[in-house]
Amino acid sequence: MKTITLKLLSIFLAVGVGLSAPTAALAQQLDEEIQKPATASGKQEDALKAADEAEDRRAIEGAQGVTFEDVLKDPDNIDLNYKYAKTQVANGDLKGASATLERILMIDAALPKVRLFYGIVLYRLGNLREALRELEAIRALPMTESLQGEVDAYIERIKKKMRTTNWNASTGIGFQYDTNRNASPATGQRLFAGTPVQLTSGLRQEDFSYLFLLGMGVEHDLGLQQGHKIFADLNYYRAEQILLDTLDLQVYNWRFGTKLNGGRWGQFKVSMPFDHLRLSQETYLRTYGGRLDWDKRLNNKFSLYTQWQVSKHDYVRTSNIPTALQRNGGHFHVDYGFHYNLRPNQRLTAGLGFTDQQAREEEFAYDRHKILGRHAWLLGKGRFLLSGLTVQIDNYKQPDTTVSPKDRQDLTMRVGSTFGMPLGDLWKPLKNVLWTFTYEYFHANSNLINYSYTNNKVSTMFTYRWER
Amino acid sequence: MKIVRISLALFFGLSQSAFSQGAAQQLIQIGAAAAVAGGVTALAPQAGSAGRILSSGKTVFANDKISTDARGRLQVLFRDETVFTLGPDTEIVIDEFIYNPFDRSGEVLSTSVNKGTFRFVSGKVARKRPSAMKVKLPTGTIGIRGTIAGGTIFPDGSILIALLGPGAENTAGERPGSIEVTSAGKIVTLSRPGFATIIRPGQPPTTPFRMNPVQLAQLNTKPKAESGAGDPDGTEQDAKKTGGMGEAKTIVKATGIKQQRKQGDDQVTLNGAQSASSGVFSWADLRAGIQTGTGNYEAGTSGRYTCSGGTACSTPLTGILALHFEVNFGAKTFGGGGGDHIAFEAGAPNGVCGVAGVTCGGGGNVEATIPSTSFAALNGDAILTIGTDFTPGGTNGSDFNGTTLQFKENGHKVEGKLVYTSSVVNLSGTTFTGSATAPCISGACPQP
Repeated sequence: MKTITLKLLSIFLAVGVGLSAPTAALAQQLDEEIQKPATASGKQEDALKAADEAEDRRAIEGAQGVTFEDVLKDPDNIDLNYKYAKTQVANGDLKGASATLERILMIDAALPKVRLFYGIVLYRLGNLREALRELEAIRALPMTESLQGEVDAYIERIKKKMRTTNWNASTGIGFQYDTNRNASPATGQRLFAGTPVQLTSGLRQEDFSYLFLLGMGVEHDLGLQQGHKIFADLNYYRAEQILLDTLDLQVYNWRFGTKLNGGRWGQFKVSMPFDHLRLSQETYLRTYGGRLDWDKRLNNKFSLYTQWQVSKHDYVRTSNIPTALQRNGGHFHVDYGFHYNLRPNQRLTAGLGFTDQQAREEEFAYDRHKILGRHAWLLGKGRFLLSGLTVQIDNYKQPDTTVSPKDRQDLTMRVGSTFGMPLGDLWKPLKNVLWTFTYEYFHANSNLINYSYTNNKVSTMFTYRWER
Repeated sequence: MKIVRISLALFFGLSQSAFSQGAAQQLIQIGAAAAVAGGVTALAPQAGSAGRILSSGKTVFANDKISTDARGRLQVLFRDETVFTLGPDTEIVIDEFIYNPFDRSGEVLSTSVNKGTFRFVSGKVARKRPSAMKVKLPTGTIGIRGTIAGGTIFPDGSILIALLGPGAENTAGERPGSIEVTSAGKIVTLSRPGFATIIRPGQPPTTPFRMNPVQLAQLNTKPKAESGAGDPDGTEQDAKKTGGMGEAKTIVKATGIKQQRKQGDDQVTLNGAQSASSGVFSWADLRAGIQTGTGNYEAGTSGRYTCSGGTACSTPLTGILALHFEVNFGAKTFGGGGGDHIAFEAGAPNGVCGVAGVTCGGGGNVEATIPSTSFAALNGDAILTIGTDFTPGGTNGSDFNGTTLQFKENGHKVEGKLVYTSSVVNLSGTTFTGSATAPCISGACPQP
């Protein structure tokens, strides 16, 4: 009885109230909306990770052209060995490069640039103590100011990594432009009880939004040989629309967990995440559950990953969405795939995913199948380009009769790229600021016209990072 | 003695000239020595009891026993790109090495470390099958899983073994490495760089522990970073422990280093007053320690050479090679002055060769000034490489463009050789070797 009442209320909201654009958007694509903060945070995390990797590579970007056979013929030729070390770096053989650089320093210990190179290679190999020793050994040597700056910067990075407890914080501001922020149907029509109705309002609405991110985290090394760690993160995301205020989003995310090194069994991360999502300044959704991440590097090219998450979605009725409670239910998803290093500076990821979203009312429950491909490209000088394609098929478990008697089936595609670069190259005081620019194309094709639409999005973000 | 399979010989050329023909037929080349310093010897049992002195670039054979003295160190570069670094007072035996780039099955690299300090970076053999590489110790073994590791054997027989990378959180895209240390029937796995275990005679390996800086320094195989500001990485201390560097590091002055060529009567002279901040006088000290003063190299007062090929010597000519250049220790440069030149003088048009006592037989000269060249970053053998571009007004407006000078440090002696190489100018009798000692004016004198 209660369900029927709520459905009637939905119809009333959709038809009787007059299809105000924001409400209509919320009613149709809430699943998409609640994923936005997680998507944004995930992309930001990927960007920061790529920025870290790009920064690590910056001082020792490789070259090509020298073979091991060349070195065997003239093993004490410093210039040749230096070129060979760069070739090894370019080929991703940092282990070998460490031996080559060690050889140069055995021949001539008075080469600060080579010792810096050697120290960075050791750092990237995770041999932090020897890396620190090498870099501190050259600190007092005469060298150019820029080289001295590089040495000091790496010493700082290594010392940070060697700390038992590491704190980090980041904050980002930016803005975003969407061509169809309210997810208005491409046909200009909506179905109501199976009948198409021409929209007079709720048509495609472009909009700008301000973005704000704040995050902090702590990670503690338990000091064991296996390198097990415990960690906790707290993040805040906010997207403030200029026009469509009902789509203003805020999310607080908190998680804690442990990173476990399983040796030949791979790396495990077990965590308990909690999200609190606010829509249009009202609490709309709380989620809590457990998550397991696993990855294993099979060789220098290939690694496997998987992610399992089980959570509970607790919705809260809001003034815009009085039917929110109908969506309460469990959530389970699994992602799995592989990473493949095309080149030392390019990584390809391919994966599949499955989601089982449950809901009190089955018309909000669905199974999702996902396929994704991503490409990460470290362009040099700390710059990077992340590109991705995701295709999803959602099969809803029961028809929403207020819309149509048919079961809803969506096919969505998201494709986009993010370019990032550190601003320290332009102006030194901005050395901790990362700039990213993102373009994304989203297309949803559904058997119900309400859910077929296209959106183009561009966004830019400036992120300041702090670590100690 | 293990039987070393000779299939390797099918894939790599053998270097056998140093041995008798009969012995050489049993020798299998597995790699080369590099970065050799101090005294390093190798003994291949197949060659009977004849040992040989290893220098950089020399071939290393299967079953070689390689030893370094108190000042010695080197790298052994295996064909599969495994690199073994040996520190002072170290001895290893290469028990078995099978590497076939065309058929990767059955590959093996097995070595025994009898004493000293070592470090290795595994190569292709261990990459394909980690268990294929093994390092034997006086008590225990190390099994490799694609990694960098090091160790040192102390006089009391205890052994420190450490993993040095790659770690689980490496950003190099490398698979994390690990080693399995076995002794007295017990296996201990090291899986995090900077962690180590100790084997005491007859006992199992200790539980892995994080090394302290002193233990880390005990694994170091490189010389210290050169500077005038102390001993930042502590290797001077290590060197003193070995007894190789002597006790005193007092200031000495050296003047008038003379280097006499062994071949011919050409003379290379380095004159000038320099001071070195070390009791050990070497080319490295010349570069690092001498802050002021100048010297010069002079060569070519007699001797006949043949010049052929190229623009100037399309018709072979006989003449002399004359060489003179200034060395500026303050600026760490050579060449660049008006008198700095290199010339193949086969008779000037006016009949005067510019060198007393030499008769010119006509023809042309190939002559060039030597541009100012920094040797601040150069090292190694004292090698003068004559550039191949001697077209007048060539690429850099200079004949013999690309001429460079390098130095070699060999223990406490100034030791070098002057090598003329050129793909254009063919000179007979082009290689000269020689040595020079640094007179000790005051302070502790280096011992030969």
